Amino acid sequence: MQQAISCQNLTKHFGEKKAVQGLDLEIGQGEVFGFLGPNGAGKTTTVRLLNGLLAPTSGSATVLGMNILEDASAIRASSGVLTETPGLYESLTLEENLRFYGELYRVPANDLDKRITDLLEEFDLVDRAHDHVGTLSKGLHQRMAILRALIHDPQILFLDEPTAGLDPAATRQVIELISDMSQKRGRTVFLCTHNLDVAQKLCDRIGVIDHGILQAVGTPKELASELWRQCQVELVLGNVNDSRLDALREAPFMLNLAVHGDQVSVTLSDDEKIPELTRWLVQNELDVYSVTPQQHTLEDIYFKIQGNDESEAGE
Amino acid sequence: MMKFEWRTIKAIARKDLRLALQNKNILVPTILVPAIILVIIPAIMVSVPRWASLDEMSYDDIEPFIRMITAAGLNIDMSDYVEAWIIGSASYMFAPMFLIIPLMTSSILASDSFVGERERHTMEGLLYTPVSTRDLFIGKVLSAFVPALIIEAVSFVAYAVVVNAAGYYAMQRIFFPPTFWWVLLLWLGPGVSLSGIGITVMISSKTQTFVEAQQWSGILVLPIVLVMVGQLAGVFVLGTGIVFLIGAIFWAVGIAATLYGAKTFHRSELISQV
Repeated sequence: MQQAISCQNLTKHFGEKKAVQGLDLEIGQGEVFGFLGPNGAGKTTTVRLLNGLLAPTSGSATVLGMNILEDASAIRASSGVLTETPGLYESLTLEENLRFYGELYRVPANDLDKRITDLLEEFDLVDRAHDHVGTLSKGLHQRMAILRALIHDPQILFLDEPTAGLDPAATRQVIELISDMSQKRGRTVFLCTHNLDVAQKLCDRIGVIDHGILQAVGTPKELASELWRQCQVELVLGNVNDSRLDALREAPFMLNLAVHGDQVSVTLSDDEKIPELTRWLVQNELDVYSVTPQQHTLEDIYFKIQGNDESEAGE
Repeated sequence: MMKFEWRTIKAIARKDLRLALQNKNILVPTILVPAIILVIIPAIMVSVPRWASLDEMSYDDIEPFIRMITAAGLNIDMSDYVEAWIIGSASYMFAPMFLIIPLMTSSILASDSFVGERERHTMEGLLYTPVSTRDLFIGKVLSAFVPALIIEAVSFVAYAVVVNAAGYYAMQRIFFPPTFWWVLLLWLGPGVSLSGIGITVMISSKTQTFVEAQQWSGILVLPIVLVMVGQLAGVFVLGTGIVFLIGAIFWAVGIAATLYGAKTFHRSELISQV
């Protein structure tokens, strides 16, 4: 599969400030990639580098196979960007905004009317086509901003905090829209966000950047298994007694065992040991109501990575 | 050399103009100032002899006008103070003031186009489009230059009608415009417009708001005041030759300032100001 984004040692310094340092990253086409990090971590600078707005201090990158230095205009023609400030003209109507950006993105004049109508219908904004953008609610405004980023049917979307300031209903709508972009249209999405819940729902893989350095990259599961070598499993068992618990504690796969009422919490060396645990429970004639491996949320993963970073910095 | 994307350039110019037309801070001065400078004040000036008796005035009272007209070599009966007053005020005194129109409109529109984009937080969105900064710059310059020329032309027609109508009671003929006004309209006015745009673009890279840019653009009126004072002091009198020369200076300044502005209008520079 061709990579949608490929960065090799991508670096950007602003004087003394090292905004992005030696970024190596590969993102496949159709992937939703979450780029997480605190304010000033280097997320926006990376998006600007990848769209050829800034020249790297060193290193290189390609977007859709095009070099960010030599083919910047072609990259921008194929990418749709939603910036944190959406760049809509409040005193122009929705239709005027879309027409303007359609012309800038060189949508053929013959197709532009249809494209605008189709998008407004699809985003349920057709009734507001002739209203000024300034009259839209925050949620509709953001929906319009995403729509604007899609006016030229881009292959790749860069979304910077697409749910910032939205209420839960509007956030859900935006999540659905982004999900559709990836699943129905096969578009690659590069999502910069602080919102870990949104990232958890949308992203195939995530990267965590801080102080311009990519701290970790992978699927949430991969990152969790890297961060937590051991596996915590919650058991709900019937007919438990002390001798059976003692036998379980002595089982070869067992690292730790704790009892909380009718729940038993066990620690295994890794999740590959879960089938072995289940077999042992059945063979020892324990009534098994549930075996639940503890899932680490993206929030756990993110803060664990950030925590690691802090401990390293302190060393 | 990269091809010009005229569809894009027109879209940018059209959008900026549309935004300007919806902005009261732009509309009010671009309508009110020409109306006051070129309609109300000239109508009063030309009509003064109807209410005040110029026959009782001495030569010294209207000496600056007489000097202007004699220096311009016009064949006018100098004993007719009324005619000297009307021609002196309509054709000569108001000529520098007329230049305030292209200067003011171009600098207001350029401020809105260049600084306004930053103030509205819409510049970043433009920089992410495939439009070259050259085409973006040209679109923005045209969004100020073309309307400034149109407003100048409309103001000229309005002024010609007003002074001819107001002065007809004494002149009994259409006396305006004299030849040098055509050079002023077609050569000096556009040069003044371009200077206004060029200097505003230079200023705009250092300012954050439309109002701030406008305050700095106020210095642009100084060369026009110099022309006004120079003429009244008898240093020179406006005629075809001198208007052409002043026009050449404004064009040179306008082209130099605009090219300098274009050089600094770079994506990486602009994104750092967002």
